[in-house]
Amino acid sequence: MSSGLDNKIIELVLSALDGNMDSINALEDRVVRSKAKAALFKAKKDPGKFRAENTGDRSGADEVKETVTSDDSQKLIANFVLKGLDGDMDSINAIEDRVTRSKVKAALVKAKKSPDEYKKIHSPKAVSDVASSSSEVKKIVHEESINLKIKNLSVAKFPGSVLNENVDDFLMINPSIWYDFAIWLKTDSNLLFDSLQCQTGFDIDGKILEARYNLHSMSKKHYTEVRIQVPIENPKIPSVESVWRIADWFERETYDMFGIEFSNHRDLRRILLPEDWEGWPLRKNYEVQETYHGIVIPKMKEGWE
Amino acid sequence: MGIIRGEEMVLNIGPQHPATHGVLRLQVRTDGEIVSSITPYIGYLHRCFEKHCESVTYEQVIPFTDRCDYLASMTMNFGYVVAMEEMLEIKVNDRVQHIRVVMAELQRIASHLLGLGAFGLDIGAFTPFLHMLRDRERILDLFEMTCGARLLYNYMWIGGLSHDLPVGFVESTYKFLDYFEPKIDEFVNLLVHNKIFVERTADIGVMPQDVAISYGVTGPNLRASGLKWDLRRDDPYSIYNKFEFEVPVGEGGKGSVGDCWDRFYVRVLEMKESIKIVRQALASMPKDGDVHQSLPKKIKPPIGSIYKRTESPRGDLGYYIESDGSNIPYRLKMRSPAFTALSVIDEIAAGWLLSDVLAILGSLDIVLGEIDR
Amino acid sequence: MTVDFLFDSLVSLFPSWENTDPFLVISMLIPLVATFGFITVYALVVIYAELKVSSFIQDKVGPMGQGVGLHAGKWGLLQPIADALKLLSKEDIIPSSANKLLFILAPFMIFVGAFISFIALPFNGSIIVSDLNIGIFYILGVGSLAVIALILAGWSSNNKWSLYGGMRSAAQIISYEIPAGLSLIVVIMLAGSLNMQEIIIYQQGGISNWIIFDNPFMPIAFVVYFISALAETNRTPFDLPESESELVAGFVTEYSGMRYAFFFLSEYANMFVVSVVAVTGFLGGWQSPFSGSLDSPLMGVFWMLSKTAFLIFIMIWIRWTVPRLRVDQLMHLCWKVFLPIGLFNIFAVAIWTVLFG
Repeated sequence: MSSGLDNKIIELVLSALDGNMDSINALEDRVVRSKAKAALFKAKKDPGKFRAENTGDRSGADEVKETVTSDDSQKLIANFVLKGLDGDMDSINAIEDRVTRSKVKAALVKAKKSPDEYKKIHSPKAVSDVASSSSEVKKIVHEESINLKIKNLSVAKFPGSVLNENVDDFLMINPSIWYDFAIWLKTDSNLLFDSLQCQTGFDIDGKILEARYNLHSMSKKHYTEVRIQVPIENPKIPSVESVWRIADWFERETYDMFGIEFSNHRDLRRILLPEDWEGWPLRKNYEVQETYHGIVIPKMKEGWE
Repeated sequence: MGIIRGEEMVLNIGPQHPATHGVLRLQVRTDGEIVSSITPYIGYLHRCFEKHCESVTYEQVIPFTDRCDYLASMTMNFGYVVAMEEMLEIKVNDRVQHIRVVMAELQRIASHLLGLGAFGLDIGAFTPFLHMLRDRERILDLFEMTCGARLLYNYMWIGGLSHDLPVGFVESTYKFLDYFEPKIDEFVNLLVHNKIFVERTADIGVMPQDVAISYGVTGPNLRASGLKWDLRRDDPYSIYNKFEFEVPVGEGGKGSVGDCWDRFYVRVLEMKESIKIVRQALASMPKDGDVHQSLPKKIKPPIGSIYKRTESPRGDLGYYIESDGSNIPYRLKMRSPAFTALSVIDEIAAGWLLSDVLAILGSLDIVLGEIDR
Repeated sequence: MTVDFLFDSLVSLFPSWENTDPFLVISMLIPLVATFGFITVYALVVIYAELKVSSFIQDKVGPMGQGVGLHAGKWGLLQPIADALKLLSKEDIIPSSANKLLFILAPFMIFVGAFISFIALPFNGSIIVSDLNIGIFYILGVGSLAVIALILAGWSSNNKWSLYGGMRSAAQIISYEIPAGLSLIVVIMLAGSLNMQEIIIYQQGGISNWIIFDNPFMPIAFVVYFISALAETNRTPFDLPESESELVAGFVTEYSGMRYAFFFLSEYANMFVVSVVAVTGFLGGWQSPFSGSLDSPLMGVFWMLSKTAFLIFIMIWIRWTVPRLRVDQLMHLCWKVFLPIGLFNIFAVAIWTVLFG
């Protein structure tokens, strides 16, 4: 123990260094809280040193089986991350020392972005490991490639339609060409997205409304997500209910909850709420109307919760 | 012979009607007995599920999922915890996985029993309904034994389960399966090959495969149209890839593929497959393992979103969860299978007789709690 | 016959009375009151039977209890009485936009239709309210009165479901009267009479002389008649007019309390009437199945009621076993299956009688 702080404060500071300020703020004792904050301030100047000193000591004190010294802790973490990459999360969850566990998890999240590379660098028996988990790697590559494939294919037909650079998770589509793009997605022989799995709206910080479409191909068995952003002042997105018939009801629900207007929709009415309901309930700035047909709507939470 | 057209009459089936399986209003335009168009009005059971989720923590959402599809609460829990665990990168131990599969498959049998019974009731057969409720009761007894609740369980938690299996559960389940397996043949004799039942369901309300896909119809309804699509097999979650089971599809045994009879029979066959899965899961279930082992202390998923689909008794149940890094969901959307199944009704039921419309509605096996959320 | 007997005995009791009109009224009223009492008691019994039989079919116990005041009496025997009391004490609702006169008239009409059929039903050689010489024809005739009542009920309720129910039942009952009538024509051809008692007397001499075993075509006629009778009484699988999962409750949707009870009562009364006609026409009526034994007048009543009870039991059994037909399948069955069979039967039996009879 380099400093005269007691164990509890060290623990708090360590968790705060990992980004968890809540536990410090939740302290009731003002003296302890201020002490902890002061210690945190010091520690932030050189977090690595603080960690190495305190975790080393504490792990010894808590009788952790794996003796973690500042030298071989890196190796240990790498070991766990490799295990995690192979799908064995149990061993990570079984680590008793919280700090090590959270470190391992953080490293794992990073490593998952490029598992191959991580394995090459860290694994003592890199070759066999890659071979054993090849199926998983392939799957990830496959999922990534379909979005890229759509982007590359769309360049010829719809130049500039895909707005985002990184298409790992989703495709951001320009709303103006969305209807034609949807038809293309459904009919192109390489894509054949014949099933609209889910369609929903999002309110992003009260400024932007976003519609998300989860598409799936029953014949090709691949999957993608399309997002379309429109400003909240003028939320207009072309309707695709004639492309996928289920979009009829999905868009009605999104309209009902977010007020996104789907142009050229044949029958755009509220679906879950009454026809004369005011406001768009799932928007973040939604205020419940005062009365509905003369019935006072209780605002106080105690009233109905 | 030409069709004589009379004056059209607008008829409201529901919101309170014996055959609507809840509070649903179908506005049908009829010419005598012939129905020319059907407009469903839903939302009578809307309980603001998605809005509520934005004000409670992730673990508090689970009881809400129970109440969406109150006939298959276990699978609703299952889908949510699978999605959350993928988001949080939690891996639960083998015992938990096995228990979850056993529960989900028992729930599937229970849900199908009620769905089939209610379908029979819509056709006018009262007795099979009570026979099926009798057997569903035994499954509910098993659930009650496990978690104390008979309808809304809150049993599966993110990273584990609320309780371990009680002593004697495995034996009771085996006993139930031994009892129940021959009973399926009884139902088959009572309804499936009954002349009047076949007359009422075969070739009625045929749903072609492309229509089913375009309308997002999934689950047994899609499989009855001949497409082998089951998330347990095609996109295995949990440990479903460990088990051997068939995916039954409609073959048009009494009429054409995708008719009401197929939708009925596919569910009957699925119950048999579920029994197979339960038997395998019980046999391979590890004896030791703490069901609370991987429960996270604090649930704060990383910023990002996930769309996870699981196979509920009614079809693809999707949870779209968006996290902003706090312990409360930023947005949670449930893609309910019955919602899509109901939307197809105008397409497949228009032009049939009034009695057929209600038979078709029964064959889709909808739950209004899940449609309205 | 009972009326005549009562009248004659009254006249002989009071020979000094010049004016015999009061005797006539009294001798008509007594059997009517008795019949009404019989129908009420019979309805309670058959409701109990329906509850119990359906319970056993559905693997449950049905009404049961440990004693008076607890649940529903020993074996649930008080259940039908409780049901009746509940119906009687219920609020009587008439929809504001209904046609009041017709709405009130319809349940009485349907009950009258069922009630006056009882006049021609023979319970044994002498117990029959009035031994009409056109008995079977009379029963078929007044049976059709129900159609008017059902249409009135359906139309006057001012409810779309009721209208559907009324229209369906009218189409159904009128259609099924034809195969039922054709099947009975065969019986009349063999017996050579429309009189109920004479038809029964034609069948005396044991089970082998019953009309159903008279020639190979009679079992067919019996089955056609029985199924048509099911349709006429609106029992499953032909309960389309009141199919609860389609038309809510059909023509009785808007009825409650006592008025609903009248529909209920007349359905069970009709079941009894059609069963007695089937027993009279095909199963030997009040005759003992064993030639020359057990054929005292009291045993006659026993045979009549037990044969009828058996047929009613089959009706209940069918109701709780099979699903419901669709309206076009119902018509298909009637006009394209039963009608040709019925006509064929007439010719076949006629030729059979000429060749072998």
